[in-house]
Amino acid sequence: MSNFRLKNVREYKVGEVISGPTRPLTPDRIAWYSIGMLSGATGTRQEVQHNIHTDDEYAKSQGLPAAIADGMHSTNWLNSMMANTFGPHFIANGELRTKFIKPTYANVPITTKGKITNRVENSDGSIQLNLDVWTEDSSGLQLTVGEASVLITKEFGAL
Amino acid sequence: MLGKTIGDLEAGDIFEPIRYVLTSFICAEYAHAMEDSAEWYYSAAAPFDRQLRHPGMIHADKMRLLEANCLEERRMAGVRTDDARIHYEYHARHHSPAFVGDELIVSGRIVDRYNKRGGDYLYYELKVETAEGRLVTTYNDRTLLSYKPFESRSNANE
Repeated sequence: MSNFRLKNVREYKVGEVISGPTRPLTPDRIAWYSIGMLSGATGTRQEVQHNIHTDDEYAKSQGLPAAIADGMHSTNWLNSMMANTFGPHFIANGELRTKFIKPTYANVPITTKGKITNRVENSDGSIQLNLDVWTEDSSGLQLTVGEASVLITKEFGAL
Repeated sequence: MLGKTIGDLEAGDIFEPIRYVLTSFICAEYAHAMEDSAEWYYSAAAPFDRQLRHPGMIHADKMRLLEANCLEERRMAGVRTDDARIHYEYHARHHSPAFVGDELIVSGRIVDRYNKRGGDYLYYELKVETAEGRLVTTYNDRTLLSYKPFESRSNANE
């Protein structure tokens, strides 16, 4: 049974803000993503790799002040926020665009957020929602920014 | 092969497509790494009644495609290139879910390679579809090929 928290889509209004949990991007989490991404790409379980995401010294050799989290980590937390909020509608008819405008360093607490910017009811009864999305640190500084959209259709209910 | 590493790729290059079968392990391992607890990534949970993959897995598809098309691109084997790349932009459009057991075909091309403020960028276009022709995801990606100042790059004199 899925745990997405889809509410009646008619309750979503322009200006409404959705969010995910606030979590520090710890070195352990960065390592878990290294393992999971590579395991997913190879089909067999992999070890943590030493790169600009996991190795401070290597990151410094590349001109960075320290290791930075993989941009896909923030993107995937935004993906999860969208899928947990809009359920199968996002999985089947969703879009996410992100730009990594500032580096995310280890142990920085990150919160994912989205704000509905547009809502269109189509003639077939489906509803298109557009959102600005971002991650921010504890001071509210945006690190990753982008846009998302989702088409809510009768196929998956909630209309 | 299109080049030794992605640093050799140019606008207009077309990747040789790859095919693989999506497994339960692939879906669960990736979602678990993201601490995403949605049950549909781990079992055949409602509402699709089939286990599916996390939408961000298009990034892993990009890794597969690059390693199949660039002889010395071996990040999946733990090999680093001289200059680390920085992922700058992700843009995925999801057209249908990818389910465990689906055979996926990943194809793509380099749309553009350009220099901006001293940075060397690649802009990709990728597509994932099932062997039956069902479109799963279309994707664009922008990658900075080196974060180092130009004069300190390994290929600065090339």
